[in-house]
Amino acid sequence: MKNIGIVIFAFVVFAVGGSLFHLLGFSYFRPDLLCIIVSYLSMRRDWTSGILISAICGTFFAFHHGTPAAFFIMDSIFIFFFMRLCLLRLNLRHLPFMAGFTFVSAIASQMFITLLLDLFYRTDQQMSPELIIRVLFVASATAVFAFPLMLLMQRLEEFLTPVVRDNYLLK
Amino acid sequence: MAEILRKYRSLIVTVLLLIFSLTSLYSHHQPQEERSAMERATVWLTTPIQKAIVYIWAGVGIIWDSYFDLVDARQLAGENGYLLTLSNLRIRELEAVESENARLRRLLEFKQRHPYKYLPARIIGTDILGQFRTITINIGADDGVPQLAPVVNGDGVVGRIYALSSHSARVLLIIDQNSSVDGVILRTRSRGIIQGNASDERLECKFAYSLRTEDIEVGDEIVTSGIDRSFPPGMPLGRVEQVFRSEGGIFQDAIVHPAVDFTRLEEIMVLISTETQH
Repeated sequence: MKNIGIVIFAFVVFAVGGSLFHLLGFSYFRPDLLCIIVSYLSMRRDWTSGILISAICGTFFAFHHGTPAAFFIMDSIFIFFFMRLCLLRLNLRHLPFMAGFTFVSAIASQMFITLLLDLFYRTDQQMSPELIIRVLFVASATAVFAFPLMLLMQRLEEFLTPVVRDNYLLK
Repeated sequence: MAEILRKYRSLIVTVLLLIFSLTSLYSHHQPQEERSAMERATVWLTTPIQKAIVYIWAGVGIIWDSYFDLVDARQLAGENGYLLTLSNLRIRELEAVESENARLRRLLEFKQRHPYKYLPARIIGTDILGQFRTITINIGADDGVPQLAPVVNGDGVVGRIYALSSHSARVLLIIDQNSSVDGVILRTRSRGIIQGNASDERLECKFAYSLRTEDIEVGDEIVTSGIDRSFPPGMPLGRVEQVFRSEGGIFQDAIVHPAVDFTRLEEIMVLISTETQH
């Protein structure tokens, strides 16, 4: 139930984000929403379910962008691994730290996507100052929007988790 | 086997996903019209959400713009209101100046008709209790105001000085009950005494001690006689409003409407000498 909830949430966030940031007129300052959701999942799911849900989210993300799903499936797996390893190593289990660390994962994600595009489409993307600036803007926006989105996901999961109460009368 | 699958489940899932991704990347480049059912479903589900956001955004934009238009309009209205207030104040000032000019012109005409020595004065106070009809003026003994000096304005006699200090003076108005001025009917030269007869309702005088045989009519103008030596002759005191002739007595009384409008008393003059000035 929680997994379905997160997938629907991701779907809505991608849909809303796709329109909202376009309407706001931000050119570079756009958060990597997939990175935020996968980063959250990396610490709140086990390996198997986490990778699967991340891949589904990546697929939706790709459909929203009209790009081949494979790119973002690979990207989501990469972010999941990256965040999982980093957060476990650094022991960043609390939400604010996780949200802050999405700055790093967003940079890694952007670099990974650039590498994939270069590899499969031979875009021959150079490491130009414009690219670095764009990546830094995206990473900053991701870090800014990560905490509220992660908090929403946490609340959603709490809402969807059935509360088990002890029946004290039977004890 | 099952145990191996369970143990390496995550690795297997990851590898399968990667193989699927890489295969799909290498195998096909779908044209735009041949989108997968999943992709079409995603777009179909996403479109209403995005349309709603665009509509909401447009609505918010309209409200936002309207708000600023409203703020601008309110600011403009405020500025217009301010300008209108300024214009009204200016108009009032001009009206006041016009009124003052008229009063001063009347004073000048009065002075030309009665060419004596005057001191201009302004009213700085009135009787607070309201029991006496008195005013305080801004000049006094140091300015050359003599005791009991007549006080006039452009319309006629106002009263006379009754309390003098160095820089101010109190004037007893002719409508006060303690006031009496010798007057004559201008038409018939019939003599009498103008006494103050003001009440809360009416600011008037009484023309008393005039013989019953004298011809007094409503509308007759009464002026100072000059016999009491306080006021020079010929200064307007008022007009007869009503005449009372009693059966038995030898005198008749008349109610007199003062020549001066005591409710609108502003610029006045103190007569300091009856020597004529040209």
